[in-house]
Amino acid sequence: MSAFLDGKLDGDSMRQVDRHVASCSVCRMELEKLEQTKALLAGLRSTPSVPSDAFWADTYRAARLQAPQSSRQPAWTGFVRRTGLIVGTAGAAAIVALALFSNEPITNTTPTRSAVATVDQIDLTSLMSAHANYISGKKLADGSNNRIIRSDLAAQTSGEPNVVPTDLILAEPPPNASID
Amino acid sequence: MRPSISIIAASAALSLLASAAQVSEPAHAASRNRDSAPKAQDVSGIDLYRKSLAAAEAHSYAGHQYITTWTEDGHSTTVVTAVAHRARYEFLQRFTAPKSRAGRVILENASNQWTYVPRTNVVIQTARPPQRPDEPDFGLLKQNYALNVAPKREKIAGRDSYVVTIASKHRKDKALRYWVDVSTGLALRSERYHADGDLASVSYFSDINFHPAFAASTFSPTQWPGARVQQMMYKSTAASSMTPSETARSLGGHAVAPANMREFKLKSVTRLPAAKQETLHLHYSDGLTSLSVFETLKAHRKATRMPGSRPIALPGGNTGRIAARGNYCILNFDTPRNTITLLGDLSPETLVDLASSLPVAATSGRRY
Repeated sequence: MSAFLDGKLDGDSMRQVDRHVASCSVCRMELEKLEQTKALLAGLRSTPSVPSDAFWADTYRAARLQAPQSSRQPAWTGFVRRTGLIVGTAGAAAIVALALFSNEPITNTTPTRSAVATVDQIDLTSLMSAHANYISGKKLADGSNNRIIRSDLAAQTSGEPNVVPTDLILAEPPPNASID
Repeated sequence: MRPSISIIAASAALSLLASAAQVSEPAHAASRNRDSAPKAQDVSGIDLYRKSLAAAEAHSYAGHQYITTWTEDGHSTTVVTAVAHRARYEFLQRFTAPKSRAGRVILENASNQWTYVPRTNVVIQTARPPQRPDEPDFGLLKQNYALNVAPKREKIAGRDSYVVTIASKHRKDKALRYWVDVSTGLALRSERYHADGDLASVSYFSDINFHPAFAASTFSPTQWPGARVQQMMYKSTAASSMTPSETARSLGGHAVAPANMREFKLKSVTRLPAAKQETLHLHYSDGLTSLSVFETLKAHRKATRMPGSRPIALPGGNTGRIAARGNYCILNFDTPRNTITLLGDLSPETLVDLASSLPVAATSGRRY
């Protein structure tokens, strides 16, 4: 079990254990316990010195004092028609097109899919992929979780069922909110 | 479950033990680094940030990384990975937990990325974009954030580290702390915070070795014999790069692309080439975080649906839909002509505020 969790088994063994665990509730519970223990121990090994509320209050106060007054105003300057020059400057300095994401199978497989499947429904997977493609691995803020999300998107693209729904995290809904 | 006081107290003792066991450099070398390294008050946060980004490519290393994410209601997910990096561009990340992701491997070199999915025995191969799309904008970072170095260094994975705090000058829900290895400059730990001061996510190395010996096959993309390879291509061509006038003409002349959304600056406008309906992708950055805005001309009178979402109030009494996946938060709302989606590693409150800065009026979220 421990070798399975640590990814030390080869591909076939990994799949065999995976299949067994899927059908054996005793082993599944055992695995979940072991996983929680490992995660807890890992957390203890680090130094989660969560700062106090006073720390953040001071930090934000200091940060706001550094902010120029003008930047606290709404910053948009209008429609595209009115911002051609500005957009041009930003566009020239920035990234050339990247773009996306059409699957072009070479050795196989999945049919080509559109980036937005239907007009009246958002295809979150494609939009998340488009966003993830824009994030440089060198960025600290977006970087560490980006690979996790990319692996989820890859799993979903490869045909693994129920990948994203298990990871769906919603902010707390208001009373009587409807969930699509 | 968020970290409790008892866990924090216990961690202090355990981290000492772990530190002693995990120092990967000879003691005299570590001591020399400590002695010769500048004191925390003599280094600047922006320089450390710059150094940490460069260090991610400059140094070879191997270790284990733990990434935990907490939702606002306190639920957490921990992902455990083994990572290996051979300077400058070879990178491997093997997922070991949770079970739902165990066995996945991400492998990267200068031109390609492969993701192995063990449950389907498929390798997804992706060409990396020829140009790094979102290089850090240090000027914008300094404009929007305050970076400060704590006076005392701390130990992460047994290594002496500077502690840097990054706080937004404009928002109370955008803060980050990270620990920079004194010797190499690599970020060994980073923490993001919710607006209430509780941890939103933490990512850290439990152990790291800066002198790893890699097997010849470690970074080989052929290490999964029998796996089905599926290619996904970027389409990075000049044709998909849009000029301001092209942008103005798109979506039937109804594209909305302000140069700034609050503190976020427009970086590029592209078109999703595979979309059935013309869709623009506007990419913004505040120097630290990326924001994507997608716009599609609305062809239906029905409100746009977003799976797994809930309604959220927008200024002006209208309603949008909001969802979250991992650290990403997604806000969608309709205007009389377009459907607009904002996506980024940002809080719902920040997305709503950014949406309200767009020069368009949202509709009710139902029929109009």
